Amino acid sequence: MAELKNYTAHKDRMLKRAAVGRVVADEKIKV
Amino acid sequence: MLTLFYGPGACSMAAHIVLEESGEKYEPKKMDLAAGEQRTEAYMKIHPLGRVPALRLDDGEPLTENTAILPYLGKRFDLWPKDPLGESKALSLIGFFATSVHPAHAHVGRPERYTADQSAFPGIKDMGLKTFHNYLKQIDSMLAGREWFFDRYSVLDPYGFVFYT
Repeated sequence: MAELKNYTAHKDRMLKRAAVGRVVADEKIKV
Repeated sequence: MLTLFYGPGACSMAAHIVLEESGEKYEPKKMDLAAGEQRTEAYMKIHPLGRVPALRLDDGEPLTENTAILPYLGKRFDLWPKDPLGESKALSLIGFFATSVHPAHAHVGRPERYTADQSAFPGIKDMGLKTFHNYLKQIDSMLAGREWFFDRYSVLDPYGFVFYT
C-alpha cells in the first residue's frame, strides 16, 4: 500500500481526525 | 435518534465515522458478525439481506446500503455536494466503491460467496486481489494533488478510507 502515495496521504489525513481515531479504536482496526 | 448497525472492520465503518463526526447523538449497535448476529430474525427485519450497515431513522424506518445511507447522512450533516454535477459525481464514486471495489475485496475475503467449490477458492482470491489492487491504483490517481475526494471533506472520504484498512 505504501507505493500508493496519494491514497496513503489521504489515509494519514483521515487518521488525524479525532472521530476517525475513535472509530478505528472501537472497531479494533490496525491501519 | 438515528441507530447505526455496524460490524467491526466492515464497510459500515464509513457511516460509523460520519455519525461519530457529526456531533449528533446516535445509537451505535455493534453486530457480532462472526457469531451470525446479522442473520437473526430480529435483524433480518431491519436488513433482509443480513448485512451491515443498516440505519434506523428517527421514525423507526430502516435504511440500508452505503449507496443510500451515505448520501442521506451527507445531506443531513452538510458533507455532500450541493450542486447537481457535484452530487452526480459523488453518486458515481459511491457506485464505484460499492459495486466494483467492495466486490473485488469480497472475492479475496469471502470466496464462498462466489462458488461452493473450495478448490476454486485460490483462483478467485488471486483474481480478486489483482482486481482490488488495480482499483486501489485508480483511487490513488483520483487523490493526486488533492486533499479529499472532492473540494472539501465529504462522506466519500470515510468510504474511501475503508478500503485502505
